[in-house]
Amino acid sequence: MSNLKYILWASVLLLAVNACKPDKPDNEVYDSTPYPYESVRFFPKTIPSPDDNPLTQAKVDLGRKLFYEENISKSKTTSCGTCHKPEEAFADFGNAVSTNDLGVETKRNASPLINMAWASKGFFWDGRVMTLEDAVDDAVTNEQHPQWDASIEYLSNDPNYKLAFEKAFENGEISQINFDKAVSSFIRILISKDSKFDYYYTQRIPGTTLTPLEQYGYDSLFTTERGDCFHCHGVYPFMTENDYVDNGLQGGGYIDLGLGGFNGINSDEGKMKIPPLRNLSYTAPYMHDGRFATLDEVIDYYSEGVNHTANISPLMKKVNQGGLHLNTNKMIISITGDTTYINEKEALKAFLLTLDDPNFINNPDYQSPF
Amino acid sequence: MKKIIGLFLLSTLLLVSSCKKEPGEGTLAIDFKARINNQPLVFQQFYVINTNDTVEFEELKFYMSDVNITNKDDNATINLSKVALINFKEEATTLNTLLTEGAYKNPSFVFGLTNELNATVPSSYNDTDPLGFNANNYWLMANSYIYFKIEGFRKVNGVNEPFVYHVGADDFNTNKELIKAFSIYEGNTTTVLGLLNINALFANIDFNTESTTHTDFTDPASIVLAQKMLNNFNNALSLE
Repeated sequence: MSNLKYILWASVLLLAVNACKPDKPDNEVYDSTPYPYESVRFFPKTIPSPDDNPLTQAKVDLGRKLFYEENISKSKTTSCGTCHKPEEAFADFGNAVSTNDLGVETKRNASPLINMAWASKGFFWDGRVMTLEDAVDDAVTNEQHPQWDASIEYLSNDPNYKLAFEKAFENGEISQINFDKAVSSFIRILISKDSKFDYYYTQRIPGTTLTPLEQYGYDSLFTTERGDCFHCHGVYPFMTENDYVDNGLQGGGYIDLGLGGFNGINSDEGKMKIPPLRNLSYTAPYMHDGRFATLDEVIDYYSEGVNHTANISPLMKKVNQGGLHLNTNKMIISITGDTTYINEKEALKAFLLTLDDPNFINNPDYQSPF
Repeated sequence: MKKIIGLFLLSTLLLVSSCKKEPGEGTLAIDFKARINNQPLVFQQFYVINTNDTVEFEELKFYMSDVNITNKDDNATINLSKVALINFKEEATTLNTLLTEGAYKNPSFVFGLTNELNATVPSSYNDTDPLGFNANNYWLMANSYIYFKIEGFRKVNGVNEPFVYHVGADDFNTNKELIKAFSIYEGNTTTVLGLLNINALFANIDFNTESTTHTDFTDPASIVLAQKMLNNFNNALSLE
C-alpha cells in the first residue's frame, strides 16, 4: 500500500513538472536573432518595429528576397523592386508615375524608400495607412496584383522559401501576413546616413567641409526669408518632417485630394506627404505627380511659381507673390573686399546634392539576391 | 494571567496595525483649454478678434518642463513630469499623474524648456517622447528646440496672409505657478485647468508688422517679437 502511495505521489509530481514545462516549439529552425543595428551620431538609437513583428536578421533576409521576387505578381514579371530600384534610391527614376503589373499607370509617383522605419505619421503621399506592414500589403495588392493562393503555393513549393519562412517566423507559416511582415522588415533597414552632408554635420569624417556655394545653399535652406525649406525638410537626419502639407502645387483646384481624399476632411485636401530631401539625384522626377523633371524646376517653382491654394500651409512664404523670388545675382563682398556674385538657386541645388548617398544606393545588403 | 492578557492585547494591536490600509492613489489632471472670444478654439475656423483682425489657426502647441507640485503636509516638492508637449490641435492637452491621496498645493512649471533640456537632441529620446523626432520641434541650424508654435492665417482684403510664431532658445522660458491647494482622493481625478486666452495672446500684436518670428538671432526685430510673444503667451496662460 505504501508503495502504491509512493508511486501515486511520484506520478502527480511528474505531471506537475511536465505541465510547467514550456511548450516545445513547433518550429525548431526559428531564429529570433535581432537585426544588428548600429546607430550613428544624431540618428535614432533603435529601429522601431511593431510588437508583433520584431526586427530579426532572418526576417530581413527573407524580406529582401521577397522584395525582389517577381513570381508572386500576377504576370510573374514585377516585384517591389520594379518601381523601387536600389540604384534609384528605391524610387522609379525618370517616370512621373510607374506602370503596374497590369500595365496600368499608378496614380502617383513612386516614393523613394529611405529611412522609412521612422516615418511615423503614415505612408504614401496621402497617408492612407499607418504601418509599414499595411503599406506593403496595400502596394503589393494594388500594384502587383498577386493571386495570393497561387503566390503562396509557389512559395510553399520552393524548399528555400519554406526554410526561410520557418527561420523568420515562429509559426513558420507561408502567408500573406508573414509576407507583409518580412518585406516591411527589409524596408526598415534601408537607411541612408552616409551623404557628404551627414559627414559634415556630424563630423563622422572629421574635417569634412562644404564648398562656399554649398554652404551658401545650406544657409539659404535654413533661413526664413531665403530658401526657407527647413520648415518642412529641416529635421535631421530625415530631412522631412514626415507630415502632410499643401505646398500650393495644385493652383487650378485640387485634382488630387491627397490626405483629404483619404480622411474626408476638407481642410486636408491637397495635402501630400513631405518627401525627404535625400538622394534627389537618383529620384527624379519630383512631387506627387512627378511634374518636375529636374531640381531646377523644383527650385523655380518654390521661388516664383507657388499658387495660393485653399489649404496652403501658413509656412509657405510670400504666396501672394508666387514665392520667395530667390536672388540669382546676389553680390557678396568678402572681408578682404573681393566681390563675387552668387546665384541662390544654384547654391540651393549644390547643397541639396550634398545629400546624395552613394553608399545607400550601392549597399550590397540592399541589392537583389537573384 | 495578566501576562497572558498583556500578550493577547499586544498581538491584537500588532495584527490591527499590520492590517492598516496603505494610502491609495488618485489622478491629478492638468488640463489645458484654448479659448477665443470666450469660446473653445476650433482650428481652421475664422474668428474676428481684437476689433478687426480675422484669424484662423493651424497649429498651437507648447512645451512645459519641470512640472512640480508641493505636498501640503511636509512642503516636499514632487516632480510630476520632466517635460510635456501640449498640442491643442491634436487634442493632447492633458498631463495626467498618479499621486498618493492627500493634500497638495501650488502646481508649477517652466513654460518652455529648461536650458538643460534644450541642450539635448531628438536622437537622445524615443521617437514618441515629447522631445523625440515625432514632435517635429527641433531646429537643426539653431541647435535648439522650438518652445512654442503658433501658426495660422489672417484675412487681408479677402486673401489669407500667414502668421507664424516659432519661439525657442536658451532662456526663452518663464516660470508659472498657481497658488492653490487641492486634494487627491483614491480612485478619483482632480483637475487643474489651464486656460489659454487667444485674445490676450494677440492683444498688442500688429499683424501688419508682427506676423512672423523664428527667434532668429541674426535679426534683432525677430528677437524682440519672440520675446514679446513669450511674454504674451505667459500672460495669456492661466491656471485655475
